[in-house]
Amino acid sequence: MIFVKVVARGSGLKVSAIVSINLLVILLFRNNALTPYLIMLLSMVASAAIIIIDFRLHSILLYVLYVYGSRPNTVRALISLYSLLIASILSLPYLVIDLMSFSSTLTSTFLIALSTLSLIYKNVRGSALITF
Amino acid sequence: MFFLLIYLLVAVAVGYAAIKYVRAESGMIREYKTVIKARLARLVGIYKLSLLILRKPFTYLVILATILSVIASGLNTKYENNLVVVRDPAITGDSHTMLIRFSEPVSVEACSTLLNGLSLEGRCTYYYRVILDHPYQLKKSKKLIYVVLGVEEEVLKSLGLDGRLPEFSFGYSEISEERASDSMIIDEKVLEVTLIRVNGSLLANYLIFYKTPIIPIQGYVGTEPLTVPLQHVLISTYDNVMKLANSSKPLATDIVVTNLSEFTEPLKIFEFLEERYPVTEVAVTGSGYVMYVSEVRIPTPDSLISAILSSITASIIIISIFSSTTPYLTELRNKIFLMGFQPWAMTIVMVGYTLTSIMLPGLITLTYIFISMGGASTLNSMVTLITSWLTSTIYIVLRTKPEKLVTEAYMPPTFRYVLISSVTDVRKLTEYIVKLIKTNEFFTSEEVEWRVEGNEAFIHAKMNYVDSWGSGIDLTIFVSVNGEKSYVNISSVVFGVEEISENMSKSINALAISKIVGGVTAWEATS
Repeated sequence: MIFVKVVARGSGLKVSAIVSINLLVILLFRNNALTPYLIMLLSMVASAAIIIIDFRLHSILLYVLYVYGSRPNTVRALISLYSLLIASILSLPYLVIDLMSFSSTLTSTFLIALSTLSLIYKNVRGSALITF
Repeated sequence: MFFLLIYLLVAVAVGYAAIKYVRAESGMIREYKTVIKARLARLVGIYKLSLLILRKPFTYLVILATILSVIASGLNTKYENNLVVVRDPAITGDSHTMLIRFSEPVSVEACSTLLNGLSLEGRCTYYYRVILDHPYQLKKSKKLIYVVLGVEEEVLKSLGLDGRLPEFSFGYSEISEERASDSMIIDEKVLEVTLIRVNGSLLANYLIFYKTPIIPIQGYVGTEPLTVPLQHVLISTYDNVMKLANSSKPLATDIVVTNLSEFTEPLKIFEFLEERYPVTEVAVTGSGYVMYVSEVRIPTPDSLISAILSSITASIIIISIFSSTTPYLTELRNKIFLMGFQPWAMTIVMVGYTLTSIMLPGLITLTYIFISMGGASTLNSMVTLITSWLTSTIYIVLRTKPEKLVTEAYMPPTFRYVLISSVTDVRKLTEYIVKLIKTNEFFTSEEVEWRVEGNEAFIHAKMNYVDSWGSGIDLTIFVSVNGEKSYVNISSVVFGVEEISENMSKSINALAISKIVGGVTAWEATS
């Protein structure tokens, strides 16, 4: 329930969904071998932008969670889950392309994108918590 | 001599008058310099604000998003040769005719290579049509020849000439006799030639292909082609022209293939020839239409969609970043208003910011794309860059725009103002207020005096308004520290040697007070 509230209050999810759809179409129209890697970099920038968008709201929400007795581990799990969700949405284009036509390059790109985005989001979000 | 003397006298008189004028107006010049200084102060202020925002970490994300999107749309560009179809019911018949044009003369074998390569059948007609960089000169008739046409026997016959012209005989329309001898100067060499009269009207109207005259086209007026004037044109057999061109084998600049066995996509023909010859255009006529394929390359609709999507992605990322920084920017806007900046200052700051953080890196990336990927990719990337910049700029300018101009302009317009501050060091506070008075870019301080006694201080300042002559403001400020708070009582009297309007009076008053109030508030918040 708390997780749903955290997700629903932020605008990061909406932004990541829109960016993800755009990136998917760009990937579909790609005609250059470098495009998937460039798109991966772009999704990382988008991920960083989403952190900025969600920063204030989520900091307040997490602070409220602490005040109302949530344990640090619960908050950490919540952050990790949210990070994974955003990273999955942003990496979705690679997954769709993979399903349509399997390519080892795209699969590795997808895995790199998913793990990197997740790490970026989690770490930066984690460091944001120190301010409270 | 007399006129020289008069000239010198007038010059001395004008110089004397100029010196007198400058001396008389030196006071005004000083005043003007002060106004310029004030204007410069505003510009410097705007520049410093832009730098302040540019140094924020989110700027790096904006720059990265722009650069990546611009490169992505450049990389994703697919282009194709420009294909134009002209519909014309006047073209009848089932057979197809094809015109192939080259940028420089090629061997006539190009036609057989094409027909064999694409398993086609047809009849090739060759044309050698060149516009000379250095014209030939006809010595007797004193005419310059810019165009030399080498054609096959059938063409010469249809122009009323003998199909087998003797050596160094050329058809020329600008002679009155049937045949004339002349000397032609070619690169300082003289060649004896025979000129044979050719019907000018026939030559001018002879078409080698659909709406393509035999005489090279120089340009167009509307849709009408402009050809080289006939007085500059010579026509002859292939052999004669090849001798002039110093070529041992026959060359062609245009090839017309008639009675094509089947219709073939001109794009396919163009691509086939492009790999082997410097082809510039391929045109094919069919029943009721002509298809032209030129060397001009344009991005495909797919890649344009990709460019638009890249720009949407970049815009979303940038707008997201901007939307999260709006509270900071709004706060900054309020501070600069209190310090006496005009409402449009923030707009200039934000446009400057987007120009520096989006347009500048974008243009540098565009240059790279142009060098490495070519014009079509640059066009795609440019679409991305301009769209992203426009949407981002419009968004951020609207978000940081004051809600209502009246409420934000030069506050406060009151003649008495009490500011409560948490700064309790009375000397520091007084010195800072004096500094604010002295550095007010809208005024020159004529008198500033102050005195600190215990927990209280008194400041008096007489300031002249730089935008209007003879008007200013007299400020009396009383600072007192009481416990953990300090009170700054500001009283003002606006004066003018001439009668000044209420609006003007309020504006002068607000400009003086708002600098102190805004300055102290910002100083307190940042120190």
